[in-house]
Amino acid sequence: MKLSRRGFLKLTGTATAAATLTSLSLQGDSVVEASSYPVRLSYAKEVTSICTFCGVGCSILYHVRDGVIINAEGDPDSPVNEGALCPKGGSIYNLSYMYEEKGKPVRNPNRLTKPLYRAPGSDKWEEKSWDWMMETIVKRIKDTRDSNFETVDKNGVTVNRTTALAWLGSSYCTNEENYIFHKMARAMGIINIDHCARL
Amino acid sequence: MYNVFQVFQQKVLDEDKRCCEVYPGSKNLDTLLLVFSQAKETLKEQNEDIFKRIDYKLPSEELQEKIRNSEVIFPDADVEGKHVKIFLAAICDELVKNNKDFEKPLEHLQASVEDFLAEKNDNFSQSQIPVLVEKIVEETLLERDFVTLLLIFIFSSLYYGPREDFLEEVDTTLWKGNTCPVCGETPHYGFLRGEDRARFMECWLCGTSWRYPRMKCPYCETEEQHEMGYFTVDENKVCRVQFCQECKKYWKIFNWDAYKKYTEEEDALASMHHLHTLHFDKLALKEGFSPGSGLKWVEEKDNGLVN
Repeated sequence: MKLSRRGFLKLTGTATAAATLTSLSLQGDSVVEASSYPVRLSYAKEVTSICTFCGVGCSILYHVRDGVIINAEGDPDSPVNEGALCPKGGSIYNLSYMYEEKGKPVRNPNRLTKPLYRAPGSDKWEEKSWDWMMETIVKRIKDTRDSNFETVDKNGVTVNRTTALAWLGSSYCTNEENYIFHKMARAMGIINIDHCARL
Repeated sequence: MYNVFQVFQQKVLDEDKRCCEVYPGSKNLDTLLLVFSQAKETLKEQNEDIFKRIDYKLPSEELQEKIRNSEVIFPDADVEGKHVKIFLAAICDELVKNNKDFEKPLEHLQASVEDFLAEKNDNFSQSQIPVLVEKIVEETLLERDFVTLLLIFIFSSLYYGPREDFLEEVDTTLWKGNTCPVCGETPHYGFLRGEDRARFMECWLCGTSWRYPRMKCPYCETEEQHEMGYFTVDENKVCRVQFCQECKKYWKIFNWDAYKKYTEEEDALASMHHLHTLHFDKLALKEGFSPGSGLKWVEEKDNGLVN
């Protein structure tokens, strides 16, 4: 391959003192040029999550800038979906965004970002903290269990159970997690145990 | 396996042209690549032995075993000092041929390399590349990016070029390490595969690429998501500079999915994209990160880029 004279002139044309070989260095020009125009850096992070739509539980990589989702893609390192997403999962970005009349994405105002509670008999939702929610759930489970616990059945056989509670497992959980949940349900005396994948 | 440092084809020139379009502010590198290539061709005619293909073979079970056990294939690669000197002289001749102004700086470069090789018993090992870059940058007025590229081009052409047939056979699927399975170097850049955006790191020396998890730092190997992040420059969609807050290192990733709109070619050249984005390296240095590869391609003290 011959070196064209024109090419070489371009290479050497700007070398005046030639002391630094800047004109020869690959990025010499571009570095100088790049430094002379304003650049804008945009920082972002990638975080993993799981698709909320079905029991397959595909992994998703969210790109987040200043606490706001800017992109979502299938996680290529997940053995579940290997980077792919179904059409529904592929549009999961739209859980955060909706489109205004001109097609520009805007934050979805209907998206829930805080736990909501509706008291028995009430027709209104109230915002509550996660702590309040967790404590209330725990207390109600405990109260229901304690007030409905049977140690023996009508024939006098020891059963140590409650039929007032039911436990539903999740396809989002691993086998090991579901095993632990199952153990926990049994320990509380719950006998009505099922899994969402069967529904 | 396809590395701009070893192979010179029309494909390289086309990629160079496209990179100028993708990264505004970068200039064509065709002339310098032509000079390097011309020097190699001239030397090949004069001295056939230097670039003669080496019939390197490793039984496939042994090769797989090494890959599976994370053993580097060529852990202590080295080349003869006399070959380095001949090759360097050929490149310098080519550069000086049309412009005498470059004579002095290149004489200094050759003297510096000769001193170095004399100290090392006329033997140049791969691990000495960064050391020699520092020495030359200190002793001559040559730019760091030019020196680094020159030494990589020379070493890669002399050692990995002749073993190219073997390198083509290396299957890195089972490699789990964070360094290059072939030469053991720490990567400087990588890419996201077009079809599924799986991350691959690519060796800056021998061009080998291997898959590496997206959510893992290739240097300190942390998987803490909140420690890692990236920045883009002027919303460029193809190159992003990723970093780890835990080890304060950065690396560059090229997104071939985003690059698809510029070309229908399937094999993009990460090494070429790297050369066209050295100003991104400078921005990363300015932002307080250091190159995880240990190879500092550009100087931080040059003109301020950020703000």
